[in-house]
Amino acid sequence: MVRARDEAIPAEEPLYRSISSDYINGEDILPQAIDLPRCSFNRSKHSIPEAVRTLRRPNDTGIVELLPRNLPPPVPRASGSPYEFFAVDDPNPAEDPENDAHCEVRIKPQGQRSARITKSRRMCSH
Amino acid sequence: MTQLSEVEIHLPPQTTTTGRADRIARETTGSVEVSPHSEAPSIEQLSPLVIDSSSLDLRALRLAVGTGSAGDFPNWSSSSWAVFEKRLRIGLPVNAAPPARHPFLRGALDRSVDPPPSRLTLARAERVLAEAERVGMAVDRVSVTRSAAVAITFIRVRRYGIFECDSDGDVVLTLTNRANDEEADAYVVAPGQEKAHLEKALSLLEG
Repeated sequence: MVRARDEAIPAEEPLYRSISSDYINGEDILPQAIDLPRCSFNRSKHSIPEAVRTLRRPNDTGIVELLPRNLPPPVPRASGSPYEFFAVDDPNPAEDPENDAHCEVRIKPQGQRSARITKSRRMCSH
Repeated sequence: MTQLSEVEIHLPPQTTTTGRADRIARETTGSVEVSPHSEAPSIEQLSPLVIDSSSLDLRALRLAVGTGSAGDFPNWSSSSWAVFEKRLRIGLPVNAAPPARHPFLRGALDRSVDPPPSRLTLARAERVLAEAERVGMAVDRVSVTRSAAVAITFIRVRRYGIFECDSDGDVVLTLTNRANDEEADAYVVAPGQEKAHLEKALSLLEG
């Protein structure tokens, strides 16, 4: 049974995502490790960190932990509202239907409602 | 004359067997693969061909295709022509023969478990890598992202110059210095502008 979607993800709830060492340099994570406008994570409320490591992604031997409260501040634009980052619960998405811990970090113009965004870039499981 | 180094184009097969496009293509490439086709195809049905050429008359080629033996291609909309011409205008590496892939790029493709990047993406990435070699910049990382882009990264401690070649063939250069937490700068890299942007990256990396 698919669990109900939570209205909000607590700011202190750790989110997890697998990562390849290709995208790590010292303490920095390279920006190409992040998919935009939607980036998949697993919620700690519904899974353990290691669940993001799968045989489908053998090179992703690392795990990134992110707290929603640490998301970047809004990104200003020359015209229009700044883009803001936000975390949204997204259990059992079509691209990862067995994963009820799935959530996403997305971007949207500040002040606009969070609508379902068509993925402009291919996303995949963790 | 539109100056092109090597272009990937799609020609209607029937036309290329008998039409002026075939003659032009043969004159510029020496080889054209064709397959029988009874009707004027849509642009999606066209066979991919690679034409190596130091110069190509875009207008003549368009005219040749448009007046080929298969007719005037009534099912080609203006947007189809736009796609066709966009493909024509995309410059690929200069060599007449298909270029050997850069070892870093080959390694990244071998490691990747995601769908491979498009030919266009790979071509743009090859171009960045080739120009980097020409200007003496050693690349630090090449990787294929989950969104089938190719990321080419130059690193100096915590300064980064990252060329991301996405699936549409667009290339964006991101310059960032993580040591001072300043906002990153991003630039769209038009085909042919790779060298100028590499120099821009070098300026940040060495600055």
